[in-house]
Amino acid sequence: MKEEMKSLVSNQTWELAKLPEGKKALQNKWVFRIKEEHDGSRRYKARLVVKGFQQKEGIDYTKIFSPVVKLITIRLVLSIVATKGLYLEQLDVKIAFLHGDLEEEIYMQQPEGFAEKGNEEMVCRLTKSLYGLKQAPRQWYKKFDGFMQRNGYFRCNADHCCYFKKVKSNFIILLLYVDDMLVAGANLKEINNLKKQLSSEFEMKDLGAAKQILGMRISRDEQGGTLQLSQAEYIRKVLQRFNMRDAKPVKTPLASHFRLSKEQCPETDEEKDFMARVPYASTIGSLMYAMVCTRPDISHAVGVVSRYMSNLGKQHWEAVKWILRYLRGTTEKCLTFRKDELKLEGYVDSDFAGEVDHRRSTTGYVFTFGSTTISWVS
Amino acid sequence: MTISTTEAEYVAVIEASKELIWLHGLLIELGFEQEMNVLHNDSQSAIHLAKNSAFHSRTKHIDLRYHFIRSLIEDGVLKLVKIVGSKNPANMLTKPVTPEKLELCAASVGL
Repeated sequence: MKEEMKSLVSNQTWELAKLPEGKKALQNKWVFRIKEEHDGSRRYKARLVVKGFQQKEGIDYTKIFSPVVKLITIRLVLSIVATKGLYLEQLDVKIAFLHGDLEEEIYMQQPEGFAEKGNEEMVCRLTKSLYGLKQAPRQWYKKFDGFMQRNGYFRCNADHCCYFKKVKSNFIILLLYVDDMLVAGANLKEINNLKKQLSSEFEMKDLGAAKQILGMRISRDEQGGTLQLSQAEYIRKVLQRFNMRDAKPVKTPLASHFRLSKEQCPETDEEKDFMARVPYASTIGSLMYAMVCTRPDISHAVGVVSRYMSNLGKQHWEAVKWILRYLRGTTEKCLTFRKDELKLEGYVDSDFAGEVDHRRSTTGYVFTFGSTTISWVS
Repeated sequence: MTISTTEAEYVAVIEASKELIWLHGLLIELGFEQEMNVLHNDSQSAIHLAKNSAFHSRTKHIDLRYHFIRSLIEDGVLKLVKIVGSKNPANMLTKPVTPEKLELCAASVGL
């Protein structure tokens, strides 16, 4: 808590002021979290957040959109990294959102437990953005984007969180995911140079060689020249959460005996009542995350079961559990990027009128770059 | 909604080529320009449809906007190539497959 307060003060996040008439001061609170690191150690964090839901559009904020890097871009860059044997470093910005400058006039009550003695009735006028503010992510992105462009980096039009710079015969790529960044390049000196530039502007934490991004584990075998992207830990957590840790594994994500259709939707209230207690949506949500990150093999099955999200029957739930059992048997399956010719290839397929209810067709395609898939849709 | 297998395959090709254009653009920006992008497809009729601008009485219902694929082929951005169904990794994305087939599909895309 003290550490957070210190960085808030040193960052000049706010100045004390009297609340002008007609303005409202936003409330705030402390949030405490335990964060698990990739090596299993635990870190305790305290963060001051402002209750952004009390903000009003047009008065307290106008635009709030902020881009994040696409998963496809991450995989594409990893493929380049593996093939070219590049360095892949990771950095993290401390208190990223506090770096953004604030354009609006916003007041906040003094943080709990840290009110200034003698000035308790004063409020904080925010000069920098703060966690919880609706415009915080956008202001941070704007600040970062400006910094990168000033330093000669080109922002890709295809992905606004992918930056590129040519340095002599080499290049550096930077991917930004809110406050997490991956830097890829052949020349360690150039990478360190960029790190230095970043640290002079923002409070950075250098995480060294990249190990984990968005809950996906990155592991490299330098000798074999392979790079693996794995979600085994995430999948184990999901299995545990839905009590499927000791379930019997199966070999396919969707067995042919599930001929799922609308007719299996519950009709009596009793059935509906029973199904309402099943954590269908959250299970599918977890499955979808695995699917979009590293597991194209379950995407068809997940697509099929999510059609019945609004009104599901027992059969549909059985199919969901089947997918979990499949994952139980294939937890360790991961994407492996190898040294290979960097060639983009696509594979397309469709299933005509495969869906029972509306006779709609399913479209699917997968793209490989350097022989490993980087993009898929089902 | 599509009303024939060929049309369904054709729609899939279109969806894939939209993604291909985006990937192609990103790769150019990163200095990895691709010569001719290959799109593998197991439907010979969809490939014919894309290459041949002579309208066929059975495919005239297919929306005109879908024919933008022809211009991509003419511009040399993309090439449609036939692949046998048993070797198409995209099969696992559209239908339930046997464990052996799944293994094959997954392995061929680095999974």
